Amino acid sequence: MVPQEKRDRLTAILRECGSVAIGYSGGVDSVFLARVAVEVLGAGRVLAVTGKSDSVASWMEDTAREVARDFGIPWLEVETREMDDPRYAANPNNRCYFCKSELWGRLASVARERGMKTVLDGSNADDVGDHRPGAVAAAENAVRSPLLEAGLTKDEIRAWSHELGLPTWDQPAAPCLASRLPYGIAVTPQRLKQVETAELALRALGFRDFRVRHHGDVARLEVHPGEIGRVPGNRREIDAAVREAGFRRALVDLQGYRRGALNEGLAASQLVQLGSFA
Amino acid sequence: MSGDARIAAAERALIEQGVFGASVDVEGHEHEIAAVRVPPAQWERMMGPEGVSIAQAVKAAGFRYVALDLAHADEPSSV
Repeated sequence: MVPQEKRDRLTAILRECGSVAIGYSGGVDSVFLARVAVEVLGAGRVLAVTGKSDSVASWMEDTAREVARDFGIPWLEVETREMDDPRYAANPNNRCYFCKSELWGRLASVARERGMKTVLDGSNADDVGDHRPGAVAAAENAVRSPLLEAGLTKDEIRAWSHELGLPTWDQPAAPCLASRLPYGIAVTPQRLKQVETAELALRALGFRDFRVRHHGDVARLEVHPGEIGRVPGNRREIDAAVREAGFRRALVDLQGYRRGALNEGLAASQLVQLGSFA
Repeated sequence: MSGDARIAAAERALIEQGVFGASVDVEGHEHEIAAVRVPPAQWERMMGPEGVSIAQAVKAAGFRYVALDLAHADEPSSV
């Protein structure tokens, strides 16, 4: 159940923004935000923009396109070139900053060209406390976060998405493919393709909430605790699929999938948390 | 870092958790993964709720991640 106060707050924030360009990945949050923005502001004052690059899974791009079409959300795809930035490709622990600088810079340009007053992202109240160096880039580009400002949690966004009939309401979180590479392992199109290929194979086997972590020539699979019990029965197929994707060895993490597992090696001083800067 | 010392400690931890016949080697660009091989009969247990406590015990040997090799012990090693 979503409190009426939060619904009203989101509506008020969107009206205050006037017209909006939304960073639209095809994930739960940005799809929801775009759909509500169209309802509140009208389609003529909304543009959902998807950054296209090797770090975005093809199925996410498909979702973004299909939902925009089915729900009347004006949609634009722009190519982003974060892979050309050696600071990004080196995969430091603030990699997301360089990616989001590129993304928000492009969106800000698009917004200016199209006369959209405000650029928005889909950060929500549950994102506070996560390691999010990309949020620094958002702040530098004056990006607003209406879902966060309204205090909406992920569960509330899912519930409201369900009310609106959005197919993404129960979609697992799906950050970019580069998030599967431990810091220090260079981000390359080939490695991202390996991850995507292996993950598509696992999805075809019916797994929904998992990550294929790329540790050089070894894949470490994190599978949600609710699904990990299915691994033994699919062992041969998973092993074959991961090797087919170009990995020498497939390993399954005993702790299962947990958000931000690759940040477990970072010291507290290296973490950049939403709300901790500016 | 002594990889050999961590391996022996990890294998001891597995025995203490009641996991017998297991072997451990090290993977990852920072040598941060304990790659565990167990007999097929242990698979269900390792993938169940007990797997988390087993992982915690092995991590104490000095690893960031503890993961099970998907290749069976009766198959040629992929290492």
